[in-house]
Amino acid sequence: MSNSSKEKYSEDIITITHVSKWYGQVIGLNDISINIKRGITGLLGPNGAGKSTMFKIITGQIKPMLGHVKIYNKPVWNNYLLWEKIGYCPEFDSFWSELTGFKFIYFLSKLHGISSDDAKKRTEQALKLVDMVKDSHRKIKGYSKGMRQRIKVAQALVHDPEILILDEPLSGTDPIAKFTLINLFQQLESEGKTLIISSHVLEEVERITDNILLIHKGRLLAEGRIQEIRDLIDKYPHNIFIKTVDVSKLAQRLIKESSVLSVSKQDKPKGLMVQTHKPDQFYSKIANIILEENVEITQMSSTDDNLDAVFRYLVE
Amino acid sequence: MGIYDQTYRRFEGKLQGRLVRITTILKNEFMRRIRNKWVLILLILAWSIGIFPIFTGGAFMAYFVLTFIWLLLFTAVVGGPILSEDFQFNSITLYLSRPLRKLDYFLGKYLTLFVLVSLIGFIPTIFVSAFIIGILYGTSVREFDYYTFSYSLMVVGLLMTFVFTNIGMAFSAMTKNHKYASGGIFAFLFFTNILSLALSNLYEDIMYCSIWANFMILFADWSSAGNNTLVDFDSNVSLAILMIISIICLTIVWIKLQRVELSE
Repeated sequence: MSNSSKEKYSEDIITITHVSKWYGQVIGLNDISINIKRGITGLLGPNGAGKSTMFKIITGQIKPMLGHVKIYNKPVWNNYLLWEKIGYCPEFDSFWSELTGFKFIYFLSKLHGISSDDAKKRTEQALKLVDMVKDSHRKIKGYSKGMRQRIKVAQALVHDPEILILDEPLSGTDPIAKFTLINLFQQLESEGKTLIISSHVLEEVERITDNILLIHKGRLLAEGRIQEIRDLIDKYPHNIFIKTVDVSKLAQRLIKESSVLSVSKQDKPKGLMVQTHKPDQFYSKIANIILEENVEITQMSSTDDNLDAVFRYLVE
Repeated sequence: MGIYDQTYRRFEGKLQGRLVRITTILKNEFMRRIRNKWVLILLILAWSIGIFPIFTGGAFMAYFVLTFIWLLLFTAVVGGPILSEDFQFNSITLYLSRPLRKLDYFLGKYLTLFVLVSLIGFIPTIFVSAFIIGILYGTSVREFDYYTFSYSLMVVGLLMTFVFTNIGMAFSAMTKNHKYASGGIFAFLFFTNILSLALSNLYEDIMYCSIWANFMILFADWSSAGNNTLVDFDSNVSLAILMIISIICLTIVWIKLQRVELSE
């Protein structure tokens, strides 16, 4: 890497200085200070940790009660021209569900001031990047969770932002969509963009970046390399929920795996809760198991129980 | 299976100004609302029952009564969700994470509702005025100033659109539930009129509490060019009341938008 490239990548893009935010009696963020550089940063924390609040402050949607946030050394709050450089993918679905995916993204690109012709081209390109071209002229209300996630990511990057703030973008996605999105994030990183991606699942973040921030109850607990967190995580069993109708068949097969500690049936929703102490090994084998057993899986998600244990460990 | 080029491409086009962003909100919102079947039904009914009779020689009083009723229903249906839906479904986030000021968002939404309400409140007055001037002028149907009459009709129509838009925006800003907002608009407009009319026998000035009566007073005064037939009422008071209501409504909307981050 040349010196100029090194300088480019070591530059602080987002500077968060002593930021605190309360919602009445509830604390959202508690005296957070971070400098975020170019590349991908994973923001890891259990639900309710303050990840979304931090994102809303970074994107200028809410004002911190104390401290300030700067992007390219300019304050974010009320600086709407700076928001042109930001692409935001919210955690919760915020759609006009009667619109088609294409119209939804086209409209949002126009809100950035992109001309009609360019907006059409940018919309098409964004849809290609998230592999949603085929379904783009269907109404959003008919989309699966994974499709909705991909559309949310597409709307965040339609205007070619320099900074992407992605709140749980992989949540609820199937393995193919996950693969598509992770590739896309890495492609965007190679374009020199800054991405902050939140998740409550360590394995997801681990597949994207090794640079993480750990946040819990509004406080920044740790930042740095993922391996240090991984070492802590491995001390605790990891829970994975698999939604399937072929419960018995899959359970019989999984219990034979050396990486699986236990398998329990769940009724609502119907599926299996798998406990493993070697999640990497489990994830690398699960695709083959599904193919071999010919079972149908509609969802696979990691609960954050193990992450909670790590947070408790760090807090105590 | 289509295989697409998934190489990332930079955007090198030129960005357009605020006006384009505001009109984008207006266009998108208008199309979304107008596609609603209830909105279309109301619009068709309002035009066919409320407005066309005037061309067949219907009385202006009847025209105003019907217009007011349709406007009341229409504002409740289209105005209720105009802001509340964004709070309810969190789509406010999509707007406010774009390079838009809250003022741009407000203007986009306001203009949308204004245009929609004008479909019943103002646009028909243009046709009615054109009808009066074009067909009746020069005939001896009635002895009155057609131009003043038509002009007054259009100004009152515009004022009705303005006031109803403000009321719609205010109620929509006050709640996250668009059904409550629509109910609030309907209840406010309907019951203030009913109560005012019912109590006006006891105390005449209470008529000023009726939004509809205030428009009638204004129209009667302006169209008669000073020879007000509703002698007991002062059109300046009516105008002041409507303006005060509008200012209160717009203040409510603005306060809500300033506090929008606290509504999470």
